[in-house]
Amino acid sequence: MGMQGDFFQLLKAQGYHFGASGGESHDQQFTTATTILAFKYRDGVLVAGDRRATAGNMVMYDRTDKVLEIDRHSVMAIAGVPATAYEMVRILEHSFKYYRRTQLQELSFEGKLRAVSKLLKDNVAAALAGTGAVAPIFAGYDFEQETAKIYFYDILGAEFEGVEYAVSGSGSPTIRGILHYVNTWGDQLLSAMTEEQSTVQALRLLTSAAEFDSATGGVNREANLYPVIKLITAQGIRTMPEADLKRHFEAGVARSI
Amino acid sequence: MYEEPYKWVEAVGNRRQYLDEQFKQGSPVVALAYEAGILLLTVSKGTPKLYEIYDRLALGGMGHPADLEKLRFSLLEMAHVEGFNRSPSDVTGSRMVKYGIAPVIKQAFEEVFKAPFIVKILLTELGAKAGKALLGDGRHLRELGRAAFTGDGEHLDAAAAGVRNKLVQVAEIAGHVARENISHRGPAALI
Repeated sequence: MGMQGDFFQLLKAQGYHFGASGGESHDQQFTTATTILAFKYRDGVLVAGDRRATAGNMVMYDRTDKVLEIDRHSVMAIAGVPATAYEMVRILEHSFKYYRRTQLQELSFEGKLRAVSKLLKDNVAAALAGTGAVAPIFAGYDFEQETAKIYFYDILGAEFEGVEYAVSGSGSPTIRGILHYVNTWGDQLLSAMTEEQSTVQALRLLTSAAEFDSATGGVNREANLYPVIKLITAQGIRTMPEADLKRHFEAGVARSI
Repeated sequence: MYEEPYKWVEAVGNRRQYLDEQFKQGSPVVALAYEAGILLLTVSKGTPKLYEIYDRLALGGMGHPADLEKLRFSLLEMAHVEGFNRSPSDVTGSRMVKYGIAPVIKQAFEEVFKAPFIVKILLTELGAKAGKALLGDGRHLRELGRAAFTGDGEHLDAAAAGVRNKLVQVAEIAGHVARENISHRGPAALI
């Protein structure tokens, strides 16, 4: 297993068990709910996520990072139970690094997609029991096809390509319609937008989601709390600095609310 | 024959002599610490000799490729499982060498009926702060500072004083070149 570069199998051989047991949830309130989105813009892919984690009606935390870097060109945005999602990200991060270092070549983009799918399939019992469901968005740069790509998954591990955009989480129904409208009848396609235009678009989408979904956190200017936005291009991943988010929000979003 | 202590010592001595003969044919691996990181240099005719082990750990090796691969995989497995179970900060060169590789190499060397590892390794670790780097020669890890060498020990020690300045210049030039090419990835990428 080590020689083949499969880190997850190596962990399992050492007794590691991924995912919660498939026990019943007994109406327990697990920290969950969110809005995450990704769409292609002129230079690559933008991935964004709100910052709120809730358990039922209770806001557990308002500074959650839901857009996580897996490697230099891949990002996973998480929706669902954070404990399972963060564990998935840790496994994937180590798996991709382990493969690159053992096999002396980068894991292909398809290989990375399969790795995410395999982890979700391993988590089926917990997902169906309602104790560990995760529905992530995986985005990255495919060097073979020389383009950035977006994939979204259901909780059982099925993967779907978001050709233009993808959304997930409790706030996604709100913004899915907006994205379709903007991309179909807006002044320009999402894929033609500049970095600045796409950042403003992402901030507007998450603000809209927060308006109609109590589990999605909006912008809190007093606390300097903004969504996390990451941009994936051929050069790698860039996290939009808070100062830029503030500037874009003041210029393109705040005037309307 | 090997039950007698003297014969066992003689057998170990023979093994050491055998290994020294084998290493004379190998091309050396050089590690130089400088202000922005560590430069690992070698001459290779095709078989890779420099490897990334973990986030701040790199390996240079000479000897039999199969033995080097075995040790490399052991280090990789150890580092990644440890980094996953605890944290990346807990994966240090000293732990990898002292508790992982050293016992394996020593056991293989002392079991006179089995083949030893025909390999010398140099494990480098980037320090947390600029200017601190740890270099190890496979037996133990210490802050060697400017340079460490592996290969034919006697000859390299004798030549070290003479070529040290030249190598430092090479490292400085290589460091500048590397920074130009990979300026976005920081000093860790120079390993």
